[in-house]
Amino acid sequence: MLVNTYSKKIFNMSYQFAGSYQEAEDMTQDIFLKLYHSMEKYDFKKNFTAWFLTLAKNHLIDQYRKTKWEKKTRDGFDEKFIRMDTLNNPETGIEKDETKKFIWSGLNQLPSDIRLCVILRDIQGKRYDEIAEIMNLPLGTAKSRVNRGRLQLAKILKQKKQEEEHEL
Amino acid sequence: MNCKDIENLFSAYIEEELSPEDRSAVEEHLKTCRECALLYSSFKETTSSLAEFPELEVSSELMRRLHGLPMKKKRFFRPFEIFLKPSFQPILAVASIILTLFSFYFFNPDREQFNRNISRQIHLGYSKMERFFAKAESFTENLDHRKDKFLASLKNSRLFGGSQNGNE
Repeated sequence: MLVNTYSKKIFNMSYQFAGSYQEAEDMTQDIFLKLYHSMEKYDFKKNFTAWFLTLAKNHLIDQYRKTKWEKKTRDGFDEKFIRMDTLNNPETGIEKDETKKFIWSGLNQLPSDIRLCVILRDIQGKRYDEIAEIMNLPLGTAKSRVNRGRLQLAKILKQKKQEEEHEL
Repeated sequence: MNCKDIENLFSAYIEEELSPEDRSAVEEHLKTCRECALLYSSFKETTSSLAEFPELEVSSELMRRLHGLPMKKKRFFRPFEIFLKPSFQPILAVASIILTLFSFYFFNPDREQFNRNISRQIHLGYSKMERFFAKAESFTENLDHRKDKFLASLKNSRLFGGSQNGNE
């Protein structure tokens, strides 16, 4: 039951964080294994989803710290990620997909905790108070980390656009 | 407010969490500062692109792996769990060193030779000790003799009422 309810959420969070499909699968398995081993520590008064996502966050950040020197690139922006935009509106669709590809690779340049805050907020659509609980941060810090992450990505995107303008 | 202050308000501005005063300050700044306006445009594009990343489905292979995970940690037979405690590790390390040394002795094919060597070493040590004690004894005798001579010379000195020359 836990697997059916949470596997998609955990897998996507791992994939968006690590950027590697194979690694995300392995991490998802490790996170579930860790969950089964830590069940005894779960306090039933607490929100289970937030507790589980905190456990997943700890695992993702720990793994990242251990292997960050190996992680220079992410998987290519998967074809599965490209939505129907391209088919519906070919010109703007292609441009949008280009931006998405660029932002997808730009996620690797964010520090691990900021990257996770941005993923939780913008991709997973979590509320700030949920992010603060999962990341174990004060609300204000969670908000400022999301803003910092978005700004860092926006600066990368802005620079790319300016370079393209110069080329034209 | 300078550009940095305005950047820090982008998330709150986009999420309509600013007070009317701050909101109009941001809007005024964006009208007059080209760099901030460009950055804000990239910022909006970044957040909308991130929001459009779709969720991937979990592969059937991963689901099979997740369903096959053991729900409970395999436990050793309880009485042996003490050996797994970190505090017990130095004791295990010492015990393994002692066992290794014992195994060197008990499984040595030339054990007789080994025993002879040991007894010879013990005898050598014993005779060395004997020589040492003999030397120590002669040294103490020598010391006593010198002490007597010294006391006799003191007794005979003028300072203590004797004649300076012991022969007189």
